[in-house]
Amino acid sequence: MNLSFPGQKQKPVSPSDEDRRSEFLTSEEIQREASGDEAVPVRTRRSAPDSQCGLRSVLLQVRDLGLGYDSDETVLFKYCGGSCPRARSNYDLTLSNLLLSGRLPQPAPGEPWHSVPCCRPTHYEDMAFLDNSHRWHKVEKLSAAACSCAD
Amino acid sequence: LKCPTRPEPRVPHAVLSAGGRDCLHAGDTCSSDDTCSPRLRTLRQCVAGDGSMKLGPGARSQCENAMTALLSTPLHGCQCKRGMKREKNCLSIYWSLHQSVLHVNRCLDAAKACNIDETCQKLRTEYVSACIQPSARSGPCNRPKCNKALRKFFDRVPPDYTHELLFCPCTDTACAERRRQTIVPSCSYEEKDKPNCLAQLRDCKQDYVCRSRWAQFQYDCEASEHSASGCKRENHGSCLLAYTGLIGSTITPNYLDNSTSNVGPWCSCAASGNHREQCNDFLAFFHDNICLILHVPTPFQVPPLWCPAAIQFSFILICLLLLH
Repeated sequence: MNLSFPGQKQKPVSPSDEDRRSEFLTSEEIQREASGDEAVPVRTRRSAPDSQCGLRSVLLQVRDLGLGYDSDETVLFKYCGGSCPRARSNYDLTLSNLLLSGRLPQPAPGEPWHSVPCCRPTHYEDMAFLDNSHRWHKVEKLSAAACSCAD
Repeated sequence: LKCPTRPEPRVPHAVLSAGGRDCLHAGDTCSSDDTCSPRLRTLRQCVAGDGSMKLGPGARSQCENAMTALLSTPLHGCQCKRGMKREKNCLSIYWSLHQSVLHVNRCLDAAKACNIDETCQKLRTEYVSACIQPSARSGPCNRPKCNKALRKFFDRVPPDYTHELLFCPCTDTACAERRRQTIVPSCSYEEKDKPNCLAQLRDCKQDYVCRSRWAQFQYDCEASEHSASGCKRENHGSCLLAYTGLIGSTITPNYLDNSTSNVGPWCSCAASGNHREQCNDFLAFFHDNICLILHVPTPFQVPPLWCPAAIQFSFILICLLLLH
């Protein structure tokens, strides 16, 4: 499910890997390992240019997720990243114009007003693993399953 | 009398249907790739010599990282065909990948490999989720839901992954306990009391699916002292497959402890009356069976043979007719 708007020329982005067998990653997707660098980005989209909004993934140990779990299992954390095209609607155009011209008060730092769509997940995936005390855990909505430029 | 080859399991796995990945081909593909090639070179250096080379702590973690990285390449699960061209080269790649010095915990490695594969990860999460979810009505968990999700996992995920998860060889308790926990036994296996085994088997036979799975298991895991594999059907892989077919059924088997690889259903032969021997035979089929050796098979993939009784009989009938 991707968000789209009438009159919208921009094609909603979607991952091309939904039907892929992810056990066979292409050469550009095989984990690149820098020395001493554990977490390395792995691209899962083959055709999109690097900067566009899309699904990306990184192979990590569960403990590196920063959620407090103690497990030696490694998981493929999928996230949405990349840029979305600038103005998509009249709202966006107007808002950015008014912010630039000073007609609107500037937002406080840390509370930005988005005048561009951002790359966000449209679906999430759960993840289960066994921790080092041999207890099973399931983390809901851990990874992104699909991305789109959301308003 | 030649048996037709077994129809492909209805698992949508393109690679399995192509006859499995060949280590030589996978190795060539990897060597011609900029990112994969250095990993493979690292790994081969790690296992150079007779494999008894001691690895310093820094080298060991580099070797393990190379191994983990290669899990997501075609090299994972690759095999060799007996008598193939350059068999020795193929096997050298295979054994580099399976060098025991790098596999501290095979069961953990299996989990990592599963988590990288879309289908395996998804269905593993599904069954764990179903099996750990407390149920308002039926106590600590919803057992029927858990069993259903387990059956789905073992039916749909390729044996490449499921067999590694369930039949990983272990040399320590941590590994063995992980292995024992694979099917979330607290929900799918253990119960307050142990029913009588024959009563449990009787219940199984009331259900068409369980009955078939039990029949398949008896067939594929029939032991024979006269065969090299210990199996009458000479196909260890089929026996393992039939074993996994029992998981999520009334007679779900599991590892009995975390120190041996003895398996069996959750039942006992107490209160068997005059059927004590029959009951013991049932249990012995699980833990005294020379065919049911619970470890992942060797580099050579034996194509499964499938000779349903009907076809055997029809051949016999034709022979008899011709003799007349």
